[in-house]
Amino acid sequence: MKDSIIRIAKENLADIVGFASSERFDKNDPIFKIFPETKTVICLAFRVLRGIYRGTEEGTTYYQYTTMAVENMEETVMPMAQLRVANFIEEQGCIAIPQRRHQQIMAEADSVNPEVGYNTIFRNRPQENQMNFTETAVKCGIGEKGLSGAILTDEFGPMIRYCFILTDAIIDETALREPHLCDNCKKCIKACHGNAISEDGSLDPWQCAVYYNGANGTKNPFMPKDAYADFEDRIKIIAGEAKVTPEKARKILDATYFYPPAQHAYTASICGRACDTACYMHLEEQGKLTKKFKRPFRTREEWKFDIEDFK
Amino acid sequence: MLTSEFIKQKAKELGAAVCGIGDINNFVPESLQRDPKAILPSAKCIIGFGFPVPKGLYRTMENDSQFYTYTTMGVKYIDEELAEIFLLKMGGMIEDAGYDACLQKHVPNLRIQGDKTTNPEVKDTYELIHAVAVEEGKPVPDVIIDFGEAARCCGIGEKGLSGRVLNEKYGPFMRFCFIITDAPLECDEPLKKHICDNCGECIKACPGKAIDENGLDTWQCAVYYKGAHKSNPFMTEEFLKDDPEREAIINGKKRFDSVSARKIFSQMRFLPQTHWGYAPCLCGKKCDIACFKHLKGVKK
Repeated sequence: MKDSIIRIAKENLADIVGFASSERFDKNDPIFKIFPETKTVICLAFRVLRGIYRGTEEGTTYYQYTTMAVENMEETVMPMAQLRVANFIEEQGCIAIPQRRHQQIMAEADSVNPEVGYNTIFRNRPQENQMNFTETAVKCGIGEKGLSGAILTDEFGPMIRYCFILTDAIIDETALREPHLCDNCKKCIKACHGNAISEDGSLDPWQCAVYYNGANGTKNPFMPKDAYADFEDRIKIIAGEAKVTPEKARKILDATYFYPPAQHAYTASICGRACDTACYMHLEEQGKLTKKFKRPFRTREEWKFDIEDFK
Repeated sequence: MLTSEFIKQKAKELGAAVCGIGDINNFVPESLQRDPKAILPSAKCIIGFGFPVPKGLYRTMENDSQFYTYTTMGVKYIDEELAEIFLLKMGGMIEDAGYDACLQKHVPNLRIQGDKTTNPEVKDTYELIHAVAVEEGKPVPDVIIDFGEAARCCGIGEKGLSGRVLNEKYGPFMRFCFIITDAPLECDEPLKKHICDNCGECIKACPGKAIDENGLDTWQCAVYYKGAHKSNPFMTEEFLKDDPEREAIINGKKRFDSVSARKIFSQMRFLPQTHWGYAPCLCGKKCDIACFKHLKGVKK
């Protein structure tokens, strides 16, 4: 069964498939609330093509990242692979429950998902059980957790997206990956356009949401020079130096419309996941990634606008 | 080893009816904002893929028996699902060989700065008016490549008089997507002969008179694509009932610009919009049908 699952997943664009026995999970883990009979968790990981980051890197095109690397992956590609694998498992007489991120439902009363409009999120919904995606991916042996919280894989570094299937089928588990990629270089922290990642690696989701959507004018070619005119600290906001509260983040996001959103409530990524690309480049420089390219990702100096242009 | 033959074979297996590989140096962009090298400066090739739109989808519109399936299957599904999944699969093979694959799907709702046209297929378009170049010598983002020029460069099509990209075998019944890559592939010749012979059949067929010898007026097209003409089988007497220009509009005699077109878009609710903002096609694509019949007649 395991080989067939891997084959079907890969035929449907998954690049890495990992398996975790339910014994790797605490008895209070959400997987058991969703499906108490869970015996195996299957992780399907999909690379985000490096070429999709190219437009943001060059500062010339932003459309393809949000549509092809976020919206299409989450809404079309991953569900299709999950359903194909789930159908196969159920044909063998077992139960299979696909688990994808519900981008607009949160247990927290006041958090945010940077990838979707903040006012499209239904908060305080603990009864809609959600898996801990990061920890579960590690338990499935697809990679390790980096400083920024991103899952890092040997093949693609942080350039992946992933989802799961819970099943009562008993399948040999994948060995856990010994952490060896993240060396705490802190390049993800330095690269973030809005200082959303703390020294200890914890992420402020509201800070991230503001700058994911392009509040840093020095890295946003679509921002008018008089942006955020109603904010007293507009220059700090535009420089990526403002510390935002959830309330302030909402106000900034309401004033942030530089690029049309995609469908399914996804907003356009203007930061281009600078944390992930910085991490990728560091891993690439160190020769740690098994997926090699003929050319390094960054072949030019990073571009940046002068903050003085906004004064 | 990644070869042109391998790419064409895989493209066929994955559903593309047409595949051509163009030398990036043969791509003649009208401006830097249309230049694939602005997306991938080290690009060597552009690979083009064509997906046929089933003739039957036009047949049902011609027979006034069904319109919505063209929009959902012939436009939305091909561009937003089929082409995207296809591009990810092809791109993965290219990146497995160590080259960058910059996927270029159709960009339906955006217009580059300075482009005042629209896309009739969606509810509206957004021009990136505030954008500035990130450096001297760089184009203003977003760069959106010209699919007509890309198809010509890859030898798989050319833009016809109506603005539609025509393929030698499928005529206007085809949709396209592309990959820009630095892979050094053996390239095809650009299209040398013209497919469109400027016969003018598309001009005569358009109920909204959106095409003339200079090409397509996209705002005029957008109004009639969405069903402003009386030939729209879902037309009601209520439509623009109190508008003094109603007769001129439903007879295709009024000229529209961006302002007047946007004014009546909201009143054209004959069928639901689809996801991704694709508007139902209620003109029946008479231009494409006339073009196809002409090309078939002269065996192009």
